[in-house]
Order: sequence, then structure tokens, then C-alpha cells
Amino acid sequence: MSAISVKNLSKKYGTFHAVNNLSFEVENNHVVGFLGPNGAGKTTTLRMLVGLSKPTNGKMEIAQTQVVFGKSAANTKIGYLPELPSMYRWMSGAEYLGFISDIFKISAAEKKTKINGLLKLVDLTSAKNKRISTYSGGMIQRLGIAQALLNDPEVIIMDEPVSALDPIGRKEVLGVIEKLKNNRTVLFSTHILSDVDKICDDVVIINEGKLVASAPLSILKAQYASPILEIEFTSDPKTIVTDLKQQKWVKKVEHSGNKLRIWLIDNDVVEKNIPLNFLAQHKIGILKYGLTLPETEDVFMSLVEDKK
Amino acid sequence: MVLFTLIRKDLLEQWRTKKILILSIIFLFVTISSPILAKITPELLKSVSVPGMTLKLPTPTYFDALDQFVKGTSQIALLVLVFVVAGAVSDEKNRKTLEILLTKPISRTLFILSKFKAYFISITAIFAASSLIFYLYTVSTFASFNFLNFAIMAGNVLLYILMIAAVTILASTVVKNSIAAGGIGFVVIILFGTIFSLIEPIKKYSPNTIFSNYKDLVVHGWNNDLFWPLIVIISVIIISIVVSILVFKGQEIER
Repeated sequence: MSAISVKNLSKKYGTFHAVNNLSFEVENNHVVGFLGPNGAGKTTTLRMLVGLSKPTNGKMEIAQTQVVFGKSAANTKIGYLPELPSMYRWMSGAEYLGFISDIFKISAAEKKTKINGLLKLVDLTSAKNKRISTYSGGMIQRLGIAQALLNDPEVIIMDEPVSALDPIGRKEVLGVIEKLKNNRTVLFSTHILSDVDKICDDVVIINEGKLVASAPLSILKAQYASPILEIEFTSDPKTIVTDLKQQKWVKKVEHSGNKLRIWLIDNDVVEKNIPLNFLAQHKIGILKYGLTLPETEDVFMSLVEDKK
Repeated sequence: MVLFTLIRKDLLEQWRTKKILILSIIFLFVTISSPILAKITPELLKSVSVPGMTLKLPTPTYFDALDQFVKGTSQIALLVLVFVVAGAVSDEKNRKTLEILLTKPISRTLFILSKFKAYFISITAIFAASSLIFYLYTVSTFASFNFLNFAIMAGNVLLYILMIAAVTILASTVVKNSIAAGGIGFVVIILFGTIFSLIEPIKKYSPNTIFSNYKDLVVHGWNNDLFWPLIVIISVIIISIVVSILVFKGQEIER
């Protein structure tokens, strides 16, 4: 059974289709990266999923409850963290969580245990009585995660949870998301693709409001990403780069100092030793030669460029 | 229960962001200054008179203090109130605090009701306290006058104030900017304060009658001329609440 189901979802602003007939499903207890270039429609989709924005067309379900704009039935099942979350700055972190607990009608005894547990999870125990106005960006983001978890939601939706953070803040927040992995469904949008590699089971990729791919990350990597050959030479291989780019078995070449990264059209190229034969003809010394596993970024680039 | 949580949060916000303090100071200023001004104005005028000129000034009474109180409330206090209330909904939109709140199990109707109720509670409490202080201070400075009649007059003025607050909250729901919402509230004060009273066929319905009939009210108690203005005031309050809910229900929360 799907934790999130999106069917034929569209959002039009005048004549512009921000989201265009989008359909995808997210399985229970999976961490899913929601990817797409800037302006692809990620935030618009997420905001329709949590009921902040009204769809022009389509149907959405979260944990088998239909999402209806302006109605709060599905809200009991979700936790939402917007991009750059904003909370009442005149409250302390603990007060804010207390306020959200009261909205969910959590009993006084349970409230205290829950808030303390969540503050510990997001490492804000020592700052719980400080005003939110004094929090750093990372602390606000972590408090945002805590409020999204207060109701033990089946589904957590996060919009760019780490994009605005420095490397330390990013690591902290990713650590928290990773802790959630076992018993909750997490859908989060990001443009930091290395983070997707670290914590996601599946990805949904959209571009220009349309679905590009929705599948487990491992399958997409095997299916879409080209094998990449990484070679380090004894000297700068600039003399062969132009020639290399013209070879039929080469999709793309990246040149940096004595190193080359070559995107191959398929695995057969390596099995037939075509690159080695080519390099042998050019008589250039090789220090390292090997295939690397494609990363999410390679899959993303390959998919988005294919669709263009 | 959720409504109570939201009202408590709004009242705490008004307290911590000093809105209650600002309103208290301004109403208290009007309250304290009114009897003082009534008392010292003749003395002030005498002190600036030129030799040879004879000034015949009547002895100040509680009516003069009432004059100052009603004028101060209907002018300075109302203006400040409009700009304090103007951010009720628009600030939540601008500061994006609504983004998290509306993804919780809160109906949009309750959210808007909490805004109206929280402001009505704080305004009523502040105005009631100010009016009581004014009454006690005026009675101790001048002669005693009927408390019940004064309470009826103050109640009418309070309803007028709540009407202006209600229209301003409606404006704050419709527009995104609190300055624009305040501007609309200001226009409504002018509309009800002057234009309404100038058009003869609708003059008897003008909410501003509350401010022109107060002396008669304090001396003789309730009079029927206030019936229609009060009906208009209550109708405007109810319409503002209903329209705010309807508008907010269809509103998308922009990024």
C-alpha cells in the first residue's frame, strides 16, 4: 500500500503549467528524494500535498486519506517542514513544541515526554528555553523537524531541508532524517544530490512540472546512468581530448589536470576494451584506470538531459 | 479546545510583542488625560489672557471630561488600534508562520475565529479597565454621575471600537500587507466617522451616532436613536467575521 499517491496532479498559473499531469507513488517506510532542476515544480507539488496550495486538477492521498485543499483531515497523518521554516520567534523552542502538541490534543503527561524526547533527537535540549529569535539557521531547521514529528506522522514531507545550511548544519539534519528511516515514510526535495545518495531508497525526478522518473535509486542507476571511466595520466592528456570527444562510444568528457572522466555509452565499450585500444594508439602514460559507480547526480543529469 | 489553544497563543503573542502594552498605554493616556485636560483647560486659558481682556469661562464639569474621553477614544486611540490590529492575519502570511500551522489539524474557520476572539478579548479588557478608571477618576475630580448610564455609553463605544477592529482584521485577511490593512481600517474610520453621517437618508443608521449622542445617554440612559446604529455596528462585525472566514478558506498560502 502506498504512503503517498499522486494522480494526474496539475497546477496552472494563468497559461503556465507549474505542475503538469504528475503521477507517482511512494511506498511505506521509504525515504524518497524529490528531485528536479530549479523551477521544476517540486515546491508547488509539495505544497499541494500538504494542503497549502490548491491543485488545478488531480487527486492526492496520504496514508489512504484524500488531501482536500482547505480541509485538515490528512493533516493528522503528516509532518511538514517547509523550506526555511518560520516559527513564532517570540516563543522558546519548548513553548513552540508545546503549542503544536496542544493542537494535536496530546495529553499533558505524554506531551512532556514527547517534547523532551524530540528535543534530544534534534539536539536542542540545552536551547529549549531560549527564544526562537536567538536560534541559528541549523537550530531552526532542527526545531522544524521536531515539530514535524510531534504527532508521530506516518508521512514526513520536507522541502529542501538542508539547502540553506552550512556543512555542519547539513550533516546534523541529515543525521536526524537518517534516524527516521526505519519506521516512517519521508519525502524530501533537494538539489544536493550527494545527500540523496547518502539516505534515499527511491527518487522521484520531475522537470518542467512533468514526471521524468520514479523508481528505486539502485534501479535508476543501473538503468540510466552511463558507466564512467576515470583515468589518471602521467601528463596532461589535452592532446587527446578533442579526438576522444569525437569517438562514437563517448557521451561526455570531463578534463581536469592529468585526469579524465569519460561517460561511456554502455558497458560493452569496456568489455570490448575500446578505451584501452584508443589510448594505446596515442601512447600516453596511464597511472590509474577504472570504472566508477554512477552517482545520483549522473542519473539526474542523464535523465533531465534526455528529456530535453 | 483547539480554538482555546489558538486564542491563548494569540493573547500571549499580543503580550510578548507589546501590542497589549501599546494599546494599554494609549487608552490609559486618554483615560487619565481627559479629566485633567477638562480641569486645567480654563486655568490654561486664563493664564494666556491679556490684561484688560475678560474671559468668561464656565466651571468645568464631568461633561467636559466625557468630551475629552470620547474624542480621544474616537481619534487617537482608534488610529493606534487600527495599526496594532492590522497585522493580525497578514503578519502570519508575511512571516510564513502560517505554513507550518495550516498543515496541522486546524480548520481555517477556527484560525480566523481565534484572531477575532483574541483581539476582542484584549480590546474589551483594556477598554473596560480604562473606562472604569476614567469613571472613578472623573467622579473623584468632578461630581458623581450615573454609573449604569456611563456603562451603557462605554459599551456602545466599545462596540464601535470592535467594529473598526473587525473591519481591519478582514482587511488583514484579504491583503498581504499589514500597512495596506491599516490603511483600509483608517479609511473605514473616515467613512463611518464622517461620510456616513453626511448623507441624510442614511444618517440615522450611522455608527458614528454613538459619539454624538453620548451626553444624552449618560444623563438619561438608553434612547431609541441608538438602535439602528447599533444594529449596523453589530452587522458590520458579523459580516467582517463571515467574509474573513470565506476569503481565508479559499486563499492559497503563497511562498
